Amino acid sequence: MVGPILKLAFSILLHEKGKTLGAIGAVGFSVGLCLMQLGMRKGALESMAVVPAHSTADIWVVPSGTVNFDFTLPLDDRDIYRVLSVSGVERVEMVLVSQAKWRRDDGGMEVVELIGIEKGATMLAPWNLIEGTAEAINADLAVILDRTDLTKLDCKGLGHTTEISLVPTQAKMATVVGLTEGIRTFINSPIVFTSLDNARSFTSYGSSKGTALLVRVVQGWESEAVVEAINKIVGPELRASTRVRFCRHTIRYWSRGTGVGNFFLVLAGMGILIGLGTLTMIQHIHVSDHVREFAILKALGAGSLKISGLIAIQAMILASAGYAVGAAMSLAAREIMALNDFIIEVVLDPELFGLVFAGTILFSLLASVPGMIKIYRTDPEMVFRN
Amino acid sequence: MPAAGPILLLEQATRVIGQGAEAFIPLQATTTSFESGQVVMICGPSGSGKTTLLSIMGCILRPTSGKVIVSGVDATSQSGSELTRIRAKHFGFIFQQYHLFASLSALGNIELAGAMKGSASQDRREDCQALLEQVGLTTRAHLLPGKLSGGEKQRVAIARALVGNPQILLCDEPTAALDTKNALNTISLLRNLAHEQGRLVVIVTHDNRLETYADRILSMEDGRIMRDEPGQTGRKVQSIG
Repeated sequence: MVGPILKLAFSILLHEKGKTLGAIGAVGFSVGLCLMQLGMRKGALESMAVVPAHSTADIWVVPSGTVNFDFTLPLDDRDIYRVLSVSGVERVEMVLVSQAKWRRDDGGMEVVELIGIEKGATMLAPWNLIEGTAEAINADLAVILDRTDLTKLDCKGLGHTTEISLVPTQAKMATVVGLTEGIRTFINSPIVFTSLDNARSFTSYGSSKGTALLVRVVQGWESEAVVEAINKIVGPELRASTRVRFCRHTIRYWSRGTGVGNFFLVLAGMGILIGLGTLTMIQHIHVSDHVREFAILKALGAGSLKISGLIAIQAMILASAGYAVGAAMSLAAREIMALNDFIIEVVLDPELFGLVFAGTILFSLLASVPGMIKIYRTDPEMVFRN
Repeated sequence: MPAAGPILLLEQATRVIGQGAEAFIPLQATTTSFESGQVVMICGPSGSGKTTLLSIMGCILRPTSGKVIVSGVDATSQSGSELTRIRAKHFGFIFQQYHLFASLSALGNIELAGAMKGSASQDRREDCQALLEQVGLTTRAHLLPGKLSGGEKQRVAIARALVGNPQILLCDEPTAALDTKNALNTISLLRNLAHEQGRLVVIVTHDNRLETYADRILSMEDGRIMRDEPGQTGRKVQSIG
C-alpha cells in the first residue's frame, strides 16, 4: 500500500518542480536559520563559562556574593586550608580572575580578563595552545592570550611586550609567551592566562589573595556531599558548588542579563514560522490543484485516511530534502564564520541536528493538516460537476 | 455471467435539498431496478436529475428518503466508511474529465487506484497491465497522460474504473470530450464490458450518437423518469418500476 502512495508522492513532487523547489527552499531556509540561531545560542551560552567549563575541578569555591565567574570578590589563602580540612577533599588550588587594562602600542587601552593560575596547578591550564607551553606562564610577568585577540590587543605575537595593570600607576611589563586558538568569552574581554603570582603583580591583589578555589574530590566520594561539607565549614562567607552548577550559575547570569539566549530563540522561532507558513501554503495549493483527482479516488473507494497519507508522505519528503539543504547551509556558514574569527562559535552538535530534524518532520506534518482537512471535506460528488 | 435478480435497485429514492417552500427536489421518488449485462442510457435536459440519480445509484449521495440496494445490501442504512467499501467493491466510475494524475503514467494511474482499493501488491501490477491490455493500451502503459490522446486518456480512465472488477460501471458523459471516432470506440468498449463481461453499465449522456448502443433508455425530466424504454440493440431488458 505504501509503495504506490510513495511513488505518487515522489512523482507529483518531481512533476511540479516549481512548487517543490519553493517548498524545499522554504524549509531549507527555515532549518538553516534555526540551526544557526540555536547553534549560536549554544555557542554563546557555552562561551559564558568557557574557563570554568574547561577546568577539571570537581568543585569551585568562591566568596558569597560572587555573581559569576567574571565578576569576582577576593578570598584569602587561609581559606585553602579550611577547605583542605574537609573530608573528601583531595586537593585545592587557588585561581585569581580579575579585569585589567592592556596597553595597546597605539596608546589605547583594552580591558582584558586575567586568569591567574597557581604554579603546578593540575585543575586549570591554558588549552588549545598553538604556540608556547602552558608552563611558560610561570615565568616572570609572562602571559598567554588567544590568537583571535591579537588584532584587538594590537599584539604582534610571541615575544610582544606591553603594560598590564589594574591601576595605571602600578603597570607592569608583560611578555607574551604563548598563543591559544579559539578561547573567547561572550562578554568579549580577551582572556589572558598568567600565573597566580603574575596576576597579583598586574592587579592590586595582595600576595595571599585569589578569587576562587578549585577543589578535587577524593575518588569515590560524591561531589554534592563534599560541597555540603565544605559549605558547613566555610559558609556563609564562602560558597561551594559543583563545577557544573557554577558554570550554570555563570551562564544564567549572563543570559538573563543580556537576553542573548532569548534573542536567539526568537530568531529561531521566526525561522520556524516562515518555514511552516510557506510549507502549509504550498501543501494547501497542492491539494487544491489536485482536489478533483482526490475526489475521484474517494469515489473509487479510497478512504480519506489513505489519501491524507499521501499528503503526509509528501510533507515528510519535502521536510527531509529541505532539512538536508538547511543543514548543509548551516555547516557552510559555520565554516565561513570560523574562518573570519566570528566572536560567537556556532555549536552544531549531533544532538542539535537531531532535535531540529525531529522538529522539521513534526512541523511539516502540522503544515499538512489544512490539506488533510480539505481532503476529508472533499465530496466525491464534486467530480460530477464540471 | 449476469447475477440472478437486479444488481441495483432503487425504492422510492428521493433527494430533497433545503426545506419547506424553498425545498428543491432534484430527484423525485424513483423506483427502478437494473440488471447485469446491460447498457443503460440516462438522457434528459440539463437539470433533469440525471447526475443526482447517478450519484445516488453509486452511493456517493445518500437519498433523502427511500432505499438503494446494491447486490442485495441496503446501502442507505450503512455508515460512511461502509459506503466507501461498497463503492470500492461494486462500482467503477468514468467521467467526462478524466482526472488522471498528470505525474503518473497510464499504468501508474491504474496501479494507484488498485492500491487505494486495497488490492494485494504482488498481483496489482499484473492485474493493472491486464486491464490496460483489455482497453488496448499495452504499448502506451508508460506514457504520461500529457502524451496520450483524449480517447486514450478515456480508455485509461475506463481501465482505472475496472480495478477491483466492479460489476457496475457508472459513466457521466464519457464521450462528451471526444471526437466521433473516439466516442464510438469508447462506447463500443463499454458495450463489450456489459455484454461480454456481464457488467451493468449506466451512462448519463446528451450524446445522441450513443443511443444505438443502449439496451435500455431512461428519459428524465424535472427529477422524474418520464420514459423507460428498450434501446435499439434489441436486447431484452427487464425492469421493475
